[in-house]
Formats: sequence, structure tokens, C-alpha cells
Amino acid sequence: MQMMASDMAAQVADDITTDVQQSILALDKLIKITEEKYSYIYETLPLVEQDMALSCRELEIMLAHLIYKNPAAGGEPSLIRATLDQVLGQMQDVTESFMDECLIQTMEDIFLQDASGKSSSFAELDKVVFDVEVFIDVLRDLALNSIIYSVKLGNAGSAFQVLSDRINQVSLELRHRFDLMKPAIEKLNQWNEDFTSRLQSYIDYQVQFKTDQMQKVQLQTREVDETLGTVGQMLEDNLRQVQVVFSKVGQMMVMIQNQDIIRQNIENLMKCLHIVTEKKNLTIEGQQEHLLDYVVFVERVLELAQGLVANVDEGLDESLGGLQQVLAAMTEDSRVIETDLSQITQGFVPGNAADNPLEVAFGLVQDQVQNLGQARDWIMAESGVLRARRQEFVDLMTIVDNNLEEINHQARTLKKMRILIKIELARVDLNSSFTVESIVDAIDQVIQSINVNQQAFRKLSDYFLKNLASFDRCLGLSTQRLQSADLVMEDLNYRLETLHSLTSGAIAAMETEMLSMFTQLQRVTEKLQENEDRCQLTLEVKSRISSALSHTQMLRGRLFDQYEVSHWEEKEEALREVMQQFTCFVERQALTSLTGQLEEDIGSVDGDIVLF
Amino acid sequence: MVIRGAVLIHRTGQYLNRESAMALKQELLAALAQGQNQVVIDMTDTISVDSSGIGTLLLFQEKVTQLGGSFRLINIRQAKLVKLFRAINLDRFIRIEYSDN
Repeated sequence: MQMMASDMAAQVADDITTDVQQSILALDKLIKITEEKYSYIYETLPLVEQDMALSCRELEIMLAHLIYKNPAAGGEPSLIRATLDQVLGQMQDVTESFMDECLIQTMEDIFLQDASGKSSSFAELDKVVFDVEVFIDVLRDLALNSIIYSVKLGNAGSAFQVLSDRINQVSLELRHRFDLMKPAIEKLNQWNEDFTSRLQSYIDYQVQFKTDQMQKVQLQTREVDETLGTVGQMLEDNLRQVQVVFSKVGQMMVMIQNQDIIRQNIENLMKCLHIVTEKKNLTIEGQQEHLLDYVVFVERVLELAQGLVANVDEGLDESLGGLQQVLAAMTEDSRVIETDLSQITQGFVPGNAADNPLEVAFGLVQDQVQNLGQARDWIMAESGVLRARRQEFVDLMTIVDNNLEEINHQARTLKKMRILIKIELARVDLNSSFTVESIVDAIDQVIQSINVNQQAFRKLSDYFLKNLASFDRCLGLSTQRLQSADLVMEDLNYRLETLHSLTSGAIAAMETEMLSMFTQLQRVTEKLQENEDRCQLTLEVKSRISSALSHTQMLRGRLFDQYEVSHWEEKEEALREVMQQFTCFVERQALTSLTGQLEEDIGSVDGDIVLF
Repeated sequence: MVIRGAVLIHRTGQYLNRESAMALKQELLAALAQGQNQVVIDMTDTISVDSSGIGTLLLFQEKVTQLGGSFRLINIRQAKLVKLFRAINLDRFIRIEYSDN
């Protein structure tokens, strides 16, 4: 009978041992798979976090430098703001090279209509020339008087006949000169009309440009500021959200620490199961006591192991599940951020003028720079025209001057006649001296008037020419400054384009980083979600232990029947051996059921037992 | 990357773009972790820098300065690069030595 019990026990023990050994192998694989997952997270996530932290910091710095004031530089304005200020400053300088108020006033005084509706300077010019007609009338009267006197004196008055002829000649010459000057004067008046009209447009254009356009530029640079402020705010919000996402990495690193506990639990379970396999030797001895000890012990340990496996499984589910949950939340949040950023970036695609706020904002300023260029071109063209018209003026004035010079020459002729008259005066009847004196006086007046007239003209001419020379110099200086504006405006456009490109590039780079982060998080999530192996192994362990337990229970039943016992107590030494395995983790219920009488001994086991 | 005395010299390639900026970042991070805080970036061969490159330069200028070190760019010789750096006033934030050639 003893032999039969022993043989049966050995057979069942073999089955139990096989199940238990397979469980141990499965648990070993479970450790490896689990550690692989934890290691992957442990190694990957901090690197992803580091990369994202660096990228975020890069974008923060770029935004600070480009858009906001840079605190590192002592609160100096951002690059974009500084460049826009330079744009404004340089545009201001360029528009200053347009006509200034002083010159405008001078030109208005010389050429443009005054309050009385007639240009005073040109009115004087008209007068200077038309006074010549007055001289002609006076000379005509003089000639007439001379003839009359000549007739009166008869043969004695022959000299007065000569005088009259000569005065007539002078008069004719004056008429001739006047006829030459008159069309020149008409042309000068026409010139004045055209020139003043053109000059008025020239001045009005610049005045309007200076005020309206500069106001527009200031307004539009403010819009750029506002747009950039909005963009910066949106990006800052995004960066903050990224930081929130990655703040969970620390939480995950803490959660990963559970792997040590879980590993310990699995190893403890494996050690327990090893003890079961070692206890198989008891069956070899075959004695009733040993067989009953074996079966009762194994049954209790396997029951404990069942509880422990369930615990390990639960622990793993909880730990990996928790990690998955946090990771899923991070992945989802990063997806949202990436989507937002993608939409923001879409708005910054270069060339997408309609939706790209930066492009619109910069474009407005660049348009103004272009307008400035067009204004400059127009002003330079008009300056050229006005300078050409100046030459026309000089030519016409020269005609008038030359003719007045000829008239002056005639005045010198009249002077000679004066001497002739004086000589004749000595010869004639004293009764006629009054008439002669009055002729002489009249000639004197004409001579003086011609001199005065010519001086007046010379003075006017000098005045006009001097002011035109100033005007010409100003135009020259303005042209020179406007020509160098080409380089300035090219520089302005380059700066604006560069900053636009950098800002768009920084935002696009951030979007790429976010996408990369999202992809990496997805990869980690997928890795965590690969649970099939783990579940299969856990299932196998449960199944094997369950099978071993069934065998054990069956054996216990048979042995109890065979030995006619209803109950058998486990040996304390055996129990202690099991308890020694649980240095870090105890399944309270299982331990209590196993060691009910030995609870007071828990503290005496090597190491501290911590209830989890 | 070369270390001469206390100074770490890194010579950048032709293009300082996203890819090369990432590599530069990793190298500089490793160097800073080893206590190097005198950093010189030699841009003799560099002809183009994009926003990622500039971002990386600014980032490490900040990091090195926080460690009490120094960070500078040398041998900027390509006209396009000189124009870019001057246009964005980069020398307000990073010490730059332009090449005379």
C-alpha cells in the first residue's frame, strides 16, 4: 500500500514539477518582456523630452529676439522692432531729401501766385519791359517837338531837323527792340504759368507724400507690431502647452520605478515555485508522513502562488496601464498642439499672402517702401524737367537783357544829341531857350529812365537767376540723396524679407519638431500597447499553476483516503522557508491564510517585509 | 570638434540647417556636460544658415553664458552670411569676428 501511494505520489509530483517548471520559464520571459518595455520608455522619453525642451527654448529665444524685447540685452527692442524703426527712420531721411519747407516757401515767393493773384516778381519784369513803350512815346513827342522847332527856326533850326531824325532813329530802334522783347516776355509769362503749375504739383506731391505716406507707414508698422504680438502670443501658448505635456514625463519616470517592485514580486514567486520543485524529493522517500507533508505544503504554496500571480498580473496591468494612460494623454495633447501649430504654420507659408498675417503685415511696409521708390523716381523725373525749364528761362531772359543793352546803347546816342542841342542853343534866339531846355530835360529823363530800367531789369534778373541757382542746387542735392535712397531701400527690403523668412522658418521648424515629438510618442504608445506576449505568458503561468494545483488537490484527496486521515498540518520549517522569499512584497491574504499561527514571527524573517 | 587648451572649437559645414543644427546641438550638449564652457564656432566653410541654425547659435550662446563661459563665431567670410548677420543685428547678441578675406 505504501508502495502504491509512493508511486502515485511520484507520478503526480512529476506532473506538478513539470507545470511548475514551465511556469518558472514563463515568468522568466515575462520579466524580460516587461523590462524591455520599461527600459524603452526609460531611455526614450527623457531624450524626447530633452529634444523638445531644447527646441522649445530655441523657439522662445528666437521669438524673444525677433518679436519681443530681449531681456538678455538689457530690454533692447526686438530685431523686428529695431528693423522697423530703422525702416521708419530711413524712410523719414529719404523723405527729408525731398524739398524742405524753407525751399518750398522760397519757390512760392518767386514763382507762385501770391495773395493778390499775381506773381509780384514777374509783374515787375513785365513792367521793366513795357516801360520801353513809354520811352518810345516820349521820344516820339520829342521828335515832333524838334520838327516843330526846326520849322519855326527855319534855316537856323536845321540842327533840330537832324535832332528829330536822330531821335526818330532811336525811337525806331527802341521799337525794334521792344518788338523783339515782347514775344520773349510772352514766352516768359507762359513759362511762368507752366513752371508754377509744375512746381506747384511738385511741391504738393511731396508735401502730401511726406504726411500721408509717412502716416501710413507708421500705421502699418503698428499693424506689424500687433500682428507679431498676436503671433507671438499664439506661439507662447503653444510652447506652454508643450511644457505641460512633457511635465508628465517626470510622472512616468516615477511610475516606472514600480518595475523594481514588480520584478521582485515575480522573482519571489519564482523562488517559491523553485521550492515546490525541490520538495519533490520528499515523495521519493515514500513515507506516509513525508508524502502528506509534501502534498499539503505544495497545495498551500500553489494556492499562495495563484494569489501572487493574480497580484503580479494586476500589478503589471495597473503599472503598464497607468503608463499607457499617461502616454495616451500626452500623445493626444501633442496631437492637438501639433494640429494647432500646423494651422498657424499654414498661415505663414511664404507666398500665401492672403492668409499669412506676417506676409500681409510685412507686405504693407514693403509696399510703402516701394511707394517711396516710386515717389523718388517721379520726383527725380520732375526735377529733371524743372532743371531743363530753368535753362529755357535763362535763354529768354538773355534775349531781354541783350535788347535792353541795345536800348541802353541808344541812350548813349541820345547823350551825344544832348551835346548837339547845347551847341545849337548857343546859336539860337534866346526867346526859344525854354523849349530847347525842355527838350534837353526830356532827353535827360529818357536817358535816366533807360538806365534805371536796365538796372531794375538786371536786379530782377540777378534775383531770379540767383534763386534759380539755389533751386538748381537744391534739386541737385535732393537728386543726389534720392539716388542713394536706392541702396537704402534695397537694404530695407532685404532686412524685412530676411526677418520675415527667419520668423516663418522658426515657426515651421517648431511645427516639424512637434510632428517628430508626436510621432515618437505614438511609437512609444504602440510599444506599450503590445501586450499579447505578456498576456499569453501570464495566462500560461496561471494555467500551469492551476493545473499543478488540481494535481496536488487530487493527490491530497487520494492520500487522505489511502491513509484514512481528514486533516494534516503543515510543518513550520517548511512555511518559514517560503516566507523568507517574501522580503519585499507580501500578499496579505495569502500570507495570513498560510501563516495564521506564525503572524508574530513575520518580523523575524530576514529583511523587512513591506505590505504593498 | 577640437579642443585647444581650454577652448572648444567646432567647425561648421557648408550649411547650418535643421539637420546639421541638430548634430551641432548634440555635440555641444555633450561638451557642456563635460565642463567645457569656452566655445568657438568656426564658420570658415559655411555659406548658408537658416532659422534653425540661428536658433541653435542663440540657444547655446545663452547656455554657455549661463555657465559663466564665452561663445563666439569666427571666420564669417561669405558675403551672403555677413549680410544676413548684419541685417538681423546678430552681433548684438553673439560676439562675431568677421574674416577680412
